[in-house]
Amino acid sequence: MNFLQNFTKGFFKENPVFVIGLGLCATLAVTTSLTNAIGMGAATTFVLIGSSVLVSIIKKVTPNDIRIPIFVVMIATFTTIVDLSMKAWTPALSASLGIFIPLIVVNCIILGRAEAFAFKNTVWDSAVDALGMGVGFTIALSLMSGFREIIGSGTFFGFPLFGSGYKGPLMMILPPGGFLMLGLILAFINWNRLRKSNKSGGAK
Amino acid sequence: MGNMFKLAAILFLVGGIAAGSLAFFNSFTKPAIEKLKAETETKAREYVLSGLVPEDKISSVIYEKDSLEIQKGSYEYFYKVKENETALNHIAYIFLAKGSGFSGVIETMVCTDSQFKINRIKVLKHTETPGLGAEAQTIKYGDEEPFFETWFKGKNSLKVVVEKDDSNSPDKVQSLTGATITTRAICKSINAYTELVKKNIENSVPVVYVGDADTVVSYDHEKAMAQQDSIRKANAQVTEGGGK
Repeated sequence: MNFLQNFTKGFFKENPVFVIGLGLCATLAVTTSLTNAIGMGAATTFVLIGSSVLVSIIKKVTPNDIRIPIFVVMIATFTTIVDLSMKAWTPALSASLGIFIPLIVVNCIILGRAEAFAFKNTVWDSAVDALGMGVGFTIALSLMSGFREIIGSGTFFGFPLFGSGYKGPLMMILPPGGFLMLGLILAFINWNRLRKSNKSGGAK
Repeated sequence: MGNMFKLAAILFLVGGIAAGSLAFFNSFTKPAIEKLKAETETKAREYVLSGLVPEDKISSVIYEKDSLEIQKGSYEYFYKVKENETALNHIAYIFLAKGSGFSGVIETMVCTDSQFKINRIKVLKHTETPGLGAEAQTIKYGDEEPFFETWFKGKNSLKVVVEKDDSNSPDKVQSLTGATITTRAICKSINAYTELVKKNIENSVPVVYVGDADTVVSYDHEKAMAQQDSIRKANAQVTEGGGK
């Protein structure tokens, strides 16, 4: 697999949220504003890269029987580092993401990449894969929260778009809006894929 | 069997390394976090006090820290504010009201004057829904302070209530759109904490001033506090004795 493919597969082709369907809990919960999405994406990417690289480094000395607990401890360590740094240096972001930063530990994207990719590949490939997946996760979060924030609160990165009189459908920034938006985006992606495969002769 | 111990030892080692690196990292972030917390509190205190005390005197007011018994055996603190060392009366009380909102604890710093009329409030911490409860902190474009906080100005902090609960009260505030629970939680927490502050003040002994009462020349804070303490202790003994 060449470098570029490895890096960009996480963006769309194997997007962790929209295609693989991992990390949906955090996706639904934090995508109420774009600032949250970018912050969460960056935090998750950091943890993803750190744990993937470390897993790849120690893969030869890790006993197979207890690899999952070891991965989880490592992921938890990186997550705590992110949590502490955010509290110390970006308190506003830390306050708005709240509980979802510590919950990165149980985000299946990270354990998934550690188990499915980093444990079998070289350090360099794992780092690239993690970065790509992290960016893909951030893209997915931004897409979701962009739509939700603009429709629901009428703002973009907190700046009002439609004047102060705008009263959007509040549902969009509440939990049901998250499910709706995710459903709509998934439907669009699948429709697009089917349309493309039909055009190219229709494999199915 | 031997294998099991080996695996346990490895896990133990991994845990140890993780704990060690976290402890190392914590030594960098802990001072920063604590400094930030103290700064935020000082700033919030000066913010809620502004308006009641002239701008140029805010930095020189005296904060007297006192404790509030939230539950039996569990204490939080509040501040009694005096304009300067020699001032006789407290001009304001500042406390941090805590209450459960829609999805977690909301902390609101409140400053009232000596009659418990709210000067200013500031929502410091919350985990409410963005766009709904979180609007409590939102500053509208062009405004200088969050619109929600301005609603509380001048209300009686013992009685402040959500409009939906009592539309006839002079101390009613509107609720945030779609976030009545948040607004109600903030009102209720302010009511409850004001009660505690009021109780504390009513039970506390007036400050004893050094020197002739009519001509207070000097005021020795340390001495006065010591005197006040001894009186309070004596009173406590009396009430305890009476209780038996």
